[in-house]
Amino acid sequence: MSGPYRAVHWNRQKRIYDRVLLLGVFSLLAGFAALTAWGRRELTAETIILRSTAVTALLLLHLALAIGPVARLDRRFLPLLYNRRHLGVTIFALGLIHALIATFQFHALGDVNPIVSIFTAYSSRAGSWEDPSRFADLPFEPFGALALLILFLLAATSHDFWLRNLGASLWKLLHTGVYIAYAALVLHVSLGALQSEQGPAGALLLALGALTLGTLHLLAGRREARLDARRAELAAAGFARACRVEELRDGYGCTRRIGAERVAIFRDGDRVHALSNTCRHQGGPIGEGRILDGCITCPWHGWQYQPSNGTSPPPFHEVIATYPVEVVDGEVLVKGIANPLEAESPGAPCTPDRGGATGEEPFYIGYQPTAAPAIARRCRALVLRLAILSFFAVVWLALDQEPQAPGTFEFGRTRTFEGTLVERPLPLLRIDPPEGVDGPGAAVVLVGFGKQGLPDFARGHHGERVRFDGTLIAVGALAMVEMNDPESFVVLGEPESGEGGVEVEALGSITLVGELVDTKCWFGVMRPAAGKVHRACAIRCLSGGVPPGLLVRDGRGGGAVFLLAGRTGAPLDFDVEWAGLPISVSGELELHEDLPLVRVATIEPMR
Amino acid sequence: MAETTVAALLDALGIHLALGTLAAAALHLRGLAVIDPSTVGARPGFRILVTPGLIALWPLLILRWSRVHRGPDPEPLTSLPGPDHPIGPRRLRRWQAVSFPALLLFALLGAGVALSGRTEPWDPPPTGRAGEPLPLAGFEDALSVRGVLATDAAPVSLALLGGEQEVVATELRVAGPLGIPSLALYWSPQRPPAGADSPGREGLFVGRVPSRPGTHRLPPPLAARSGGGAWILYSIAQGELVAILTPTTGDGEGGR
Repeated sequence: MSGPYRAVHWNRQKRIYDRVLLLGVFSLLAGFAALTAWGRRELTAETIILRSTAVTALLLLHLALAIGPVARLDRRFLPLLYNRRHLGVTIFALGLIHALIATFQFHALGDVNPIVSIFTAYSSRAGSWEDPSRFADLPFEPFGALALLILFLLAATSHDFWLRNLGASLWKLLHTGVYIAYAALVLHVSLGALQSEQGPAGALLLALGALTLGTLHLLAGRREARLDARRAELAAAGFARACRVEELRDGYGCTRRIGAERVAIFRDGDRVHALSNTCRHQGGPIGEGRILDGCITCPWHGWQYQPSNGTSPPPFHEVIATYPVEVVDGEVLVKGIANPLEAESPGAPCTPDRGGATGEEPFYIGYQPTAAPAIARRCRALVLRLAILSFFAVVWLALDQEPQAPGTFEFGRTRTFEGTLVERPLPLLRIDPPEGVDGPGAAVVLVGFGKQGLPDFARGHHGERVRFDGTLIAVGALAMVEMNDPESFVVLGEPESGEGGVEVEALGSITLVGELVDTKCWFGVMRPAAGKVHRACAIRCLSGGVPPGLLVRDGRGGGAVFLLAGRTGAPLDFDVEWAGLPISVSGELELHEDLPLVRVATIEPMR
Repeated sequence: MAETTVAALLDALGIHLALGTLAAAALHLRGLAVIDPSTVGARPGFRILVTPGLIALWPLLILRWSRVHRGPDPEPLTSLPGPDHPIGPRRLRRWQAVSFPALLLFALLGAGVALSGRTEPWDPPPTGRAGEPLPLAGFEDALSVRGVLATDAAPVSLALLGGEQEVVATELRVAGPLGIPSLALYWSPQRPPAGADSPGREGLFVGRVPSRPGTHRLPPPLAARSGGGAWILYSIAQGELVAILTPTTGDGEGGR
């Protein structure tokens, strides 16, 4: 079966398999994305791609892991196993897209190498690894990275070249790593997405999938163990493997050497019989004969013997030996010691269960142009049911996503901003009303490109009038500008006396409990911009100098974000790894034009 | 410390992959033909397909190449070991039988603990119970008028109270949360020309527009009390004229 390698030995069955697979993948991706875009308009495109690839890959991984035990329990499903490597490569491709976008979105453009950030963003915090009761605070990203690494190794070594050159055992051992990948993904999802997504769909479907896989593997394993035990028992009793049931046509036989004897094995309907291969007439080869009128008939001169006891039909008296025979999982085993002459030997049933093939059962060969109709029907029905189940799972998951506060990020669009730059207590731009027009000004928060605070080119201009191009980020009435064009930054000079300062209105002392967030993402760059899934990104943003904020929720899905600054104008002293965790803040509440800001007296994590 | 360790491991991985790239090139040029005759005459698609694996697992292939050099028999690295070999079929089956349920149990246990330890998005609730308003007593008016509690875009309508000839108050109706920052209501005796980006020099500030949904009263400027003129929505942060409202009297609706 060897020749020069090709990337894929295409045949009709593989094409059908891949078309169904691609159609399924496209439908799942598009279905989830469309439902999410319809039901959760506030989510960004990156988040939709992230979630749709994750959901699709995880669903397909469940299918890939289920195919093995399903095909062991019922061999009519072997066509699903035939091209499983393409399914595996597809899962890796989806996982890779998910990982690349997640790495870029949550870890890149910050102050640490994004790959390093995946493993270290918040792993050093007390209360994570050290405190078992805070298991939920463990980072989920490394588990995803481990799973992706394993899926890469499986995809990269899926070609037969690797099977041949690594050797069957090492290759198989490597590919059983998929179980480790699956376990890692369960933890990745449980510690990540399911911490933020509080609806029942994700947790229930994950548990259902894991339990289904566990049950299937246990059932298949129990069946294999029983067969192994039966084989061992028969081997101890002197039985030896003769042939497979599907090698026997009904009414025909074959010849096998068992020990020192030649034994003829015949299939008569749903039973298999083993008899001496030597005809009593002239020693003709009984195994080359066939069953006529219910009797095994020698091909040389037509002498006949009854299969159940080896005797010739009356009025004849010849008799040949019969042998004990058993069928285990389609395998015919014959004992090399004959039964007593004329003793009744009913033979062995050869249709023990759905898994045991018989000569009449269709046998699937992938490179043949068509599968047997019975197999094709069975597989089509299963694939259709799986498609319907997957459809409902995707719909449920898509509609069960947590709502997010809408925000605006005018990505790709720049506006020109002019006003007074304020660096303390937080980087702000005080924008005047239109020239000659009565009315108040506005204050917008200033941040840099990516996960950076006020960029270097804008530093050292406190109190000066400046003009620059930037991208607007807004949540509700609050605005922020990403200063992403150093070339456009122009210092216009000092403001006229008494003008240009940010109006500050002191409102009094306040104590709030909420989640520490980075304001850039919360204002509109990302959705979701809070919670466990966003924690690493928030840490990178805060570490890069993006102003911290306290997200206070009201328990009804609403909330507000308060900018946090040091009490005396100095930078706020806090640990960036508190991001994504509940913290308590006390201080003085002020309105800086539109912006609510707490000059923090005390800040501490709640756990 | 952790960052240093991970960075060092990444460097090691980078070196491994760089060497792997060189090894893959050498294997494609010479090695594969030696260790596996079926690669001779193989199509480019095959070579592309196995390259990632060669780059990642090059030590195994180089080891095999060196074995072939030492002897004529190019056996695979694991040549169909017997049932009791450390990675023979029997042990492999046992490993599968034990490992998957064990891994599954471990993963489910981890998932269960993780899910039981998860917190509500608003946990701990600021006031101790979910469903209660923000603890902003004494601040709500100031914050809501400034639009702190608001989100998203929605139509705004304007009603003039007191009749067209004598406007005593303006009533802004915000039908849903707004997504426009620093939104202010202006009145101008003249309608700004098409394409204008501000209320104009004659524009008078009426008040900030709360982006929280609801009905909000603002006192009109003196000049606006006799009726007429244009009511303008302007975003100070965006520097944009957002809309010119058509006011109604009584219960009539205005539009953006």
